[in-house]
Parts: sequence; C-alpha cells; structure tokens
Amino acid sequence: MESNYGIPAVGVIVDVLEDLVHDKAMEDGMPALRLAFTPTPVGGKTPEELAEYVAGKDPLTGQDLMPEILDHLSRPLNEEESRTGSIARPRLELIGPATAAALQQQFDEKFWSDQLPIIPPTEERVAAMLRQTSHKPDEVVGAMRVTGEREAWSYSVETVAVNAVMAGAAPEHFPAILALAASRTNAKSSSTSSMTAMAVFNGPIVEELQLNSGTGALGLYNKAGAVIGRAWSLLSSNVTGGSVPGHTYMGVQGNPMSAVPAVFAENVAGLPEGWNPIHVQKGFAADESVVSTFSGCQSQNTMMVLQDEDWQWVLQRFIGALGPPNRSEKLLLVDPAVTAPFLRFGFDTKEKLIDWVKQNVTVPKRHYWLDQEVINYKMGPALSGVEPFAGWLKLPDDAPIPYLNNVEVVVVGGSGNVRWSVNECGYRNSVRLADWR
Amino acid sequence: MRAYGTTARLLLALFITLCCQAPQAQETPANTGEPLFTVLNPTGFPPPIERKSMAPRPADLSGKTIYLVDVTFNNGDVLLLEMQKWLAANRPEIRTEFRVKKGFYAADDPELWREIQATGGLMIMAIGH
Repeated sequence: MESNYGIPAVGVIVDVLEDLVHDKAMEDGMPALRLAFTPTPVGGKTPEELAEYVAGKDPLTGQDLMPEILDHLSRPLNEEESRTGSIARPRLELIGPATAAALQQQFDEKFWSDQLPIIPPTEERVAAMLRQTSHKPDEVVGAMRVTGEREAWSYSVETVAVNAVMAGAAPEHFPAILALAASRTNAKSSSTSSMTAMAVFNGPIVEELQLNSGTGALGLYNKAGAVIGRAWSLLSSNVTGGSVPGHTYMGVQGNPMSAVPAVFAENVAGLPEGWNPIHVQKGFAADESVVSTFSGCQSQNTMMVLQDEDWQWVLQRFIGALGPPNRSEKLLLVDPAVTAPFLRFGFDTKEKLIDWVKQNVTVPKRHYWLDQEVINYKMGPALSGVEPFAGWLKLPDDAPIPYLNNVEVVVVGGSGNVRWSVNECGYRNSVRLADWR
Repeated sequence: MRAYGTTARLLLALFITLCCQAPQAQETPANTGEPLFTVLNPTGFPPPIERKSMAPRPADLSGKTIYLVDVTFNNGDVLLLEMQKWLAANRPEIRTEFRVKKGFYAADDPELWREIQATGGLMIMAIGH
C-alpha cells in the first residue's frame, strides 16, 4: 500500500511478534516500515480489555499507543525511510577453520543445527555425497519459504549434501534425501501452530536402504529413516537461513516430532487385496522408488480395532476429534492387523475409505464458524464469496459441514496389537528417486 | 531475541567475512593439538531485496480519513473498533472508516486500496494474534 498506492499506513501487531514483522518488512524492501505494538495477546480478549490496550501504551516503545500511531501517519519521512536501492545479503561459502567444538557452538548459536551434535560438513565429506548423483553441485533443486507469506530461498544440490553430512547420513542415503529436497516440502514450517512433517517411501529403495515399515516405523529405530529424516529437518531449517525462534520459527509450543520428522516405508506386504500402495495411487509404477511427503502435521491419535456394531460413530468421533475443523487434512496410518474390519465394512479399496471419511466426518455449521482458526483463515474468503465457504456461511445452524478435503491412507506397523492412528497431516506430493540419482 | 535486529546480523556477517575466511586445508594448532575443520555453509540462497519508497505523510490529519482495516484474524476487528471509538472521542477532526479486507488474511485487496487512494485516505491495519 505504501509503495504501490502511496497510502500512508501503520501496521499494529502484538509485541511478541516484533522480530518477525521487522524481518518481513525487510524482506519486502521496507525495513523502516512504521509499526506499533499492543500487548500480547489480542485473541481471546473482551472489547473492554482491548479498549485498555488502545488507551494504554505501546509495550515496546513506552509511548501512548494512539498518539504514536497518529505520529507514524503524519511525521515526515526521514532519510532512512526515503532510501531506495538494493540491500546486500552476504553469504559465506566456507566457515572456519575451527575445532569441531567451536563449529558446533557456532552452528548451535545460529540455529543451523538442531542443538544436537552434527558431523562437520567438510568439502571431502560433501564431495562423497555428491558422487551419488549425476546432478551438478550448483544445480538449483528448489526453493522453500518459512511460511507462505515469507520470501523464498533457493537451494542447490550441494546445499542438500551439506545438510545430509551434518545429519550423519551415509552417501548411499543421498539420492533419497535429494528426492525429499526436490519435493520442496518444508519439514520445519514456521506456523505458530507448531507443525512437523512425515515422508513415506515405496518401491525398491525400501529394501535397498532397509527402511522400516514395521514395529516403531515412525520412531527412531531405523538408521536410514533417522538420518534421512534429520537431513530433511536440517535442510528445511537451513535453506531459509536457519530455524531461529522469533524470527524464522514461530511454533508457540514447538513440536517434539519436528526435530526428526517420521520417515518410514509403507508396509506393502500388509496391504489387503485391492488396496494400492500410495505411490501407485499417485500414478507411479509399483516397481518405482518414490517418496511421498506430508506436512502440516500437528498431532497423532491412536485407537484399537473398530467394532462391527458402532464403527461409523467411532470413526466419525475418532477422526473428527483430532484438531479444529479449519484443518481439512488427515492421514490414516493403518496397521495390517486392523485392515480386516475395514474390508468387512465395504472398504475394499483405500479410495472408498477416503471417500467415506470425507463425506461423513462433519461438524455442525454453528460450531464450524465459531472456531477461531476457521474465523482466521476461512471467514475472509467466505465474506468475499469464495466457495464452498460462502455457501457454508448461509447454512442452518445445525447443518453438517464436511470439512475434510485431503485424506490419505497408508498401511504401516508391526501388528503387535490391533492399533492404528489418525494423524493431522496433509499429503503434499510424490517424487521419483530415479530423477535424482 | 528481539534485541538482535537486521543491523546486528549484517554486522555479524561482516565480522565473519573479515575474520573467519581462511585456508580450507585442515591444520593442527600447536597449542591444543585439536584438528581444525573448514566446512561448507549449510544455508540456502536468499533472494535480492530492493528497497521500496514509503508514502509521503500529510502535514496535518485534520479532515483526513483513516481507514481501519481488519484482516479477520484473532479479534483484530474488535481492536480496530475500539481504536475507532478512541479517535471519535479524542480526535473528532479525523474521520474514520472501518473495513474488512477481502479474502484470506494475506490476500491482496486492490479494490479497497484504490478506494483509500482515491479519497486521499490513510490506513491502520491491525493483525490480531
């Protein structure tokens, strides 16, 4: 608005986001953008409490808030605020020489590590990774953003190799890590809702790397899954400059799964007849090595086998209870031991189960539009006439809203009991490994 | 965290550039005997930044219209409506208009910006959180 329309403007935001908004203003080319701050939070406060904010002071400057805002709107621009031109962004190619301990400390302080010991990414170690692919070190693999509104940083084959070394990966893991990097799925997204990611491998690569599809598949009980997941996490942090709390990581509480995202194989041997592995569902041949990515993961809920007498009610409640209705994505991780009842209920393909979930997991209209996340993300589009939200806004209060639109099923687990899980995760894409060898 | 702004980071980068670039071969210092490593940078490549000019400010706000623009995020509308009440009570010579920006909170709304531009208006945008 300031530059394109010549409108003098002031942004008002909560004080806890000070670093973030200054970073964003810099990225957008207006580092001196005039801002004012209220105490945190604004959400959940009554009008009377917010009237006190308005009549009170900016907690960062100590000035009276409204006079400060009016001053921002009327004070002539100074030299710094009038400046144009490029802002330099220097980047070192090499760091050191330094001892391993000093490098570790430096990487920890810059949030280039996950605060755990890393393998120093020397040129020799990185070169060993690079020998596992035909792609040139300086080839751009992709770009990632901290969130959808932040700037996109690009990364090369060499950048991926550096992070793979740091994670403790062996050269034979590199094509799998490179394919994950090519997915451009950010495992360290900076939403305040503390999200993480998952990746599922299918095809010959599972045997080649001995990836786990059985007991503990989602945990750190498998070397390949652990180092590939850690490499993906470090890469996701570092390609955007490091995952720095307050600046480039905003998860309010953090997520224990985000340090090493779950990387596992689908239990193809446990697929019932008629259920295709996920890479085949996405159009790949069964004998192709493929990685499928999921992100937006926030929580996992587990339960035991469904009963014939009330499976519909339980399934609706089990899936519908996980997260607010703004989150329209779910990943059902089905252990081979619990597939038999699904077949009995008529789900002889994954697609039939997915369709049933999308149609039958609903929330009443009144509660949908009272959810704060729905208000934040869907009310604006609804008021602008964007469907289906505009139509959902006009429904009777008790009308069911089928809010799920991204549901997938993957078979995984060691069948030690009749347990399975539903995960708040959204499918993103699938990448063929052969393209990155 | 908030004390470390962009200037500090640029200074840090300059400091590293001046003091830390060195030969790549491993060395062993006589004083500790620990091996030294030169390593590759794990970060990606940021896009260039071109500075944009800010809008000139009016010398006087009397008779001007301030648009209070809500992005439908976390009570921002309630905060802006309280600001509107404060302005009416304390600065009645300033006119105000409350507007809800169209679309998702980060979406552009050129129709609204053109309306504000046409009236010579100013804007306060509150993002609740």
